[in-house]
Amino acid sequence: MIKSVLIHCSLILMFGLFSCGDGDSPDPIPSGKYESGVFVINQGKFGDGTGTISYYDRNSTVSQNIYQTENMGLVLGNIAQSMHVADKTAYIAINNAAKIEVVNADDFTKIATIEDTPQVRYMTSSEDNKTLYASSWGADGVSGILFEIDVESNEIISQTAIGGGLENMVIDGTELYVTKSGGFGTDSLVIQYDLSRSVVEKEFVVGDNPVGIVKDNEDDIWVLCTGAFDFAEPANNTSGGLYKIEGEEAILQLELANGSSNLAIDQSGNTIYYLDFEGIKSVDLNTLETSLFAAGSFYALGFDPVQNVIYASDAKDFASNGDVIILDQEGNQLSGLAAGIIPGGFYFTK
Amino acid sequence: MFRILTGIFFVVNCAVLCAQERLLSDTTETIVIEASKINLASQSLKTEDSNLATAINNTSPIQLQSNGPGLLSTALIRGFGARHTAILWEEFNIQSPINGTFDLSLINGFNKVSYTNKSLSAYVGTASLAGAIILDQNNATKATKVALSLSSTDNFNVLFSHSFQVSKLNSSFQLGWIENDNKFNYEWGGERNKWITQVKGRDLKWNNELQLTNQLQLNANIWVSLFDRQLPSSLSSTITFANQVDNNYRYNAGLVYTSGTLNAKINYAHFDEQLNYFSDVVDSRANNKVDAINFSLSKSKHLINLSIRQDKVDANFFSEIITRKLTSLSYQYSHQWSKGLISKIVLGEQLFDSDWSPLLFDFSTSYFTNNFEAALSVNSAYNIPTLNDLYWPQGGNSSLLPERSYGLDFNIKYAFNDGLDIEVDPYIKQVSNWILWTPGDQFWSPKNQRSVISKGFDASLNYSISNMLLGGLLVSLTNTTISKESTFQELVGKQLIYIPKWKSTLWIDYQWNNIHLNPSLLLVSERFTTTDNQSSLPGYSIVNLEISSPIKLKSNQEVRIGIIAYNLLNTDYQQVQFYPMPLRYFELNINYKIKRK
Repeated sequence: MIKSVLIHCSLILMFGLFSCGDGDSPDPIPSGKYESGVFVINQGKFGDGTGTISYYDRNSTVSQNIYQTENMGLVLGNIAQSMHVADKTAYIAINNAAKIEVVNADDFTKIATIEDTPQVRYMTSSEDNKTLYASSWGADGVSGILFEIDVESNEIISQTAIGGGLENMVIDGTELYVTKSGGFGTDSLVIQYDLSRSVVEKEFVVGDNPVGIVKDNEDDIWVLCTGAFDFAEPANNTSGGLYKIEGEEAILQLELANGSSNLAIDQSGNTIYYLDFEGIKSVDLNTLETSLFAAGSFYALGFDPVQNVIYASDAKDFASNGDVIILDQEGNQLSGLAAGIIPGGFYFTK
Repeated sequence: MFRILTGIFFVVNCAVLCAQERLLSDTTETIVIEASKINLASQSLKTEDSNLATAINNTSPIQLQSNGPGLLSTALIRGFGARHTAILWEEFNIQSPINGTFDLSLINGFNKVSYTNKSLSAYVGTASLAGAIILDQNNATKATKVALSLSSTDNFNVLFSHSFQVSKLNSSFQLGWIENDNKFNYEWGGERNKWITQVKGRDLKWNNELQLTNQLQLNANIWVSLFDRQLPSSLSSTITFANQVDNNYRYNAGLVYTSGTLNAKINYAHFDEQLNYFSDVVDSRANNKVDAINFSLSKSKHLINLSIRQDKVDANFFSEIITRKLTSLSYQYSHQWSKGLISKIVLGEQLFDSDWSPLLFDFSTSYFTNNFEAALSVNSAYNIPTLNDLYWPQGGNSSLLPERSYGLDFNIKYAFNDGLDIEVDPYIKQVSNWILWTPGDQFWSPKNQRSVISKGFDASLNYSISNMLLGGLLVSLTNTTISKESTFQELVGKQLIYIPKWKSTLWIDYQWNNIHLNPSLLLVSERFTTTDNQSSLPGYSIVNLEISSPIKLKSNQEVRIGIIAYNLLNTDYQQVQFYPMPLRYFELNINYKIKRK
């Protein structure tokens, strides 16, 4: 039994290691108790824990476990993966519970649960905020499904089996770009999905395990690949990479260390940040100059476009409450805040 | 409030057994050590053919860590983990070498189970750093018994046992048929729901003793257990079911020679253990074949034991078949200083593949009179890494060191003349090189991460007010904290997760006419669920009530009918977070027994 638990933990851990910060893009403006601040998405203990949400008002107040607090003790479920706000509604993807919890973004009271979204990962919404898109790995961890959800009714409108363990997404006009990381396996594609026709339009070949995707200030799309792990034969590991989609293909811009993850872009759209084993790295997208922004061991990364600061989390031993540090764009630590168990992502509201 | 209550109430039902007999022995004859690998006092568990996990939970100071009825249940002795507690059958450890555990919910039908909360490493080597649970059968000769159990959780169990004698052969076999749905009510999010864990099992035990000569006895035992379970995931996940198939075939044969002060025993065992687990995303298959032999030779005060064991694991998650060899050598010597004062030395070493264990020892001295006994043991122990620790493809660490420990165990008993017995067992144990899976750069990996100190006491009180009214209390205090930590310094001084500081039981055995009433109260204090002790599961109290009555049919036939109400007060609780435990449910037991001439 323990063995199977270890298998689960390893697999779930892989989710975590491959996870990318989400929510660095400009966001709608909720009003109310949680109207303007930073949400920390705490994954919760692997296996038998529950995810939680911490809220930081950007001044001095940190509220822990706000979902449970605002909903009479209800818990989110196992592995809170990511959060997205569309209009005044917040969506929290609960990976191992195969659901998306829908809450009022103002006060975090529960509105609905969107079920049957196995291994749901990340979300984004259409420009008119009428449709929510959610990526998933599928029940078997490799099939990969893109869900389209009507935000009015919170019902799944369509689900497109794309395969390969879908990860982060970005929307550019009528096109949605989603990374296809392979889930429990390995894949190396970015899918261009036509939102108006709900069909896969194009595939771009990138490096192994693409997980992060952002759009810069010129609407160019950048993709971060983690590289492949071969646990049995580490010599077979492949490098990570930073790709840029140019026309009909994705071009390698930088070779990165294996295990690079957590792509975030700053407010200006000129600099990206990511994590590798040395710490937080920054890349100037104009010169591709790379530097070690902050040394250390971090689990998740996010860029707050309101205050132009970087948030990085420390999951500690993954069985106790983690914490978060806030850095300015020179890499100076400004402050820190307490979080929940395994702080694995951030969402910033204006 | 809870702690106050736990200070007042405590118990073990097994103590009924103790209370019914004289507490202390006044034996002062010349010591002769039996030719057995383990010569150590152990505490009885009142199992009554029931599921071992249930028995441990209700009747002992051992903390049960259970995901619920029919789900993974392991024993935490004095704050240590499942991998530190050996499960011994016929002197052989049946814990899985792959993950170091054994699911106690799969053990049924043993009616003579005991445990020791003192390290057995000097006797048996690895895997018994915290102690051991010892499985045995008390086979009545020439008897036939049928035990039927039905419960409101849609559980159905039948146990048929039959023993007979043919010439010099004593034989007994037991067949268990387990059809459990474990369907119970629980509360979650303000709503009452149904939980289900289907368990189908077949269990066969066949024990044989053949007296070859006055001095020579041949023993042969078979234990086959076949289980198929549908395991629900936790409440915080999507409720999906995984299938687990757990088939175990265990054979054992031994020859015992007894001649005055010279005793010898040779004992061979072969296990074939299969554990397969299937879910949407996991297809795990493992088979372990064990061949083991124990040889013990004792003369007067001396005993030498040699044990050789090989585990051969074929699992689809390992890149190759893994073979692990353990060879143990131990020596025991007992010396009687004077009437009532005895010392014992046990020294042992174990060869683990090509690495020697540290010197393992147990120095103990005991003193007893007619109504008083005191004992002190200074002991060391070690625990080798599991095969998952060493060879797991994603992160297995082949350079792990074994865990090591030193312990002091005290034992003080006093029997008053008016039927009151008290016992207090303080202890302290320090474990270094504690193995823990921790996050690494790319994946989790086990490391010799920390040191842990456990200190506390187990105390019991049994009072026999009359032949018709007995009662008892048990209290365990367990402080198991991190004393040294290589990475997360802020965790030093924190209690290990899921270890309650207090566990208490209160029991009463009242006989009115021909009816036995056995109410019991179990109290378990808060258990931390995070290593920083910031989150916890609340303490809980459980009241159980058993009413039973024997009905004599004929001089040699008896039917005993019993009803047990579990969780009478409908307490909503969890032993492991997000795994519900049953609210009130009932069990009907009917036992028919015939003694043949």
